[in-house]
Amino acid sequence: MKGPKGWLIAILTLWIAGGLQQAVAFQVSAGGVAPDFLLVAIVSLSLFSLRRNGSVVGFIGGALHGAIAGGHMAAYVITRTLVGFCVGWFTGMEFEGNTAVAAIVTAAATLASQLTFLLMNPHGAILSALLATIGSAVYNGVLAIPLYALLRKVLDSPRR
Amino acid sequence: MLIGLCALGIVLGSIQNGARVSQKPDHVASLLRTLIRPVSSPLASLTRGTSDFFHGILSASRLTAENRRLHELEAAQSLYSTTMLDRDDQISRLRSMLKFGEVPGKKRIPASLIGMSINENRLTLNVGSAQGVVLGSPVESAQGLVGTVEEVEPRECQVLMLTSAGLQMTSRGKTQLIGAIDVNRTPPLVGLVRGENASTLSMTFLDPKAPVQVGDLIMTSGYSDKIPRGINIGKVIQVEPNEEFGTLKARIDPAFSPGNLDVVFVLG
Repeated sequence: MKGPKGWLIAILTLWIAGGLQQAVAFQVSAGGVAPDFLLVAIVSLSLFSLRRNGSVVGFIGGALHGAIAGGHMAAYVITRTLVGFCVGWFTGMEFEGNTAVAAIVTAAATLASQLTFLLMNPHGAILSALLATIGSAVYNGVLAIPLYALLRKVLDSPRR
Repeated sequence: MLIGLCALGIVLGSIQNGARVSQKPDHVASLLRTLIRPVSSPLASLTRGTSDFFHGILSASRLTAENRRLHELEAAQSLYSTTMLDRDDQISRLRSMLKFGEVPGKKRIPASLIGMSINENRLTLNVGSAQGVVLGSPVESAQGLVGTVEEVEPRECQVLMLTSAGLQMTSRGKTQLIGAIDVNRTPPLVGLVRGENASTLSMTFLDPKAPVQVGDLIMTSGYSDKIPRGINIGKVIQVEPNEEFGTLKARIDPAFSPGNLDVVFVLG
């Protein structure tokens, strides 16, 4: 993700993901598991970014999610920033990105961010939260496939 | 960079906490939510519409059945309302009949309508001579005079309605007119009432210069051994003086309505 075009697409993606998160996520929940559109957007965008840009994308996404959810803003911002950073770091390594990688990375990032979030923001129902996290990871992984495929058509690889 | 962004996140969290503690709005979160709103509202509508669309397709047969059932319920409800209104009206009429006073020398015989011949202007009641009904007995409803008994059997009787066109109330083969008075004038204006058509009566006043007016209330005069005074007949709807013949007639809208007849009294 490079240049004004890349940032424009990133902002647009996060903006739409924020709208989806606020208005649609609860309506498309399956088995009590709701998708995390913003996290999917952060991971997918970070797969086209290096650490620095990935962190910024994560920060913006986390702030949006914190504002929408009305939860603990710092927890959202820090976890998403870390996710963006880590995925950006991963992107910097020599690997060939594809939709399968996007799905796996998104699922893993969901698990990591949600577990970090649970650590920073603990609450009583740990088991149900863990199950929901796993479900959400799978859901997000699936959602990442079309988004990554779409972004791949409009964004350049950061290593090119 | 990472540490800076995390620190900024902590600052945002502190601002949020500070706003919550001081019960003031969190301007940062509020701004972000405002930025999201233009896209979230249309998306919500779109999702809802799409969801409804697919739900409609998947549940078409159930929705059709439910729609049919609701239509049936609506029809039943409509019928129920109509029936209730009819029953209320009937109760109201029966209550007013219960308030009828005593008629000297007469006995009120409650009767139910068991038949009606519109063309003949006749009613059949479920009381007869066994209950004390005699020929020429007046029949009254909650609204007023209905007619007089024309034929009597032990358990039934036939009543010729006031509105019997042209002829007039006949009893035992004799033509009988109803003695009536205009109670809105002092002294009451006297005349004779006869049926004119299915919905109108005609009253001929004895005094051709009687000051009768539209809207005057007409009641039975009581100048008869059969029909007591004071039973409502109807209201004047038209005054027709005829100076050439020296007569004065009025058209009367009868008080009773055949459609409302179910329970009546025979004054035996």
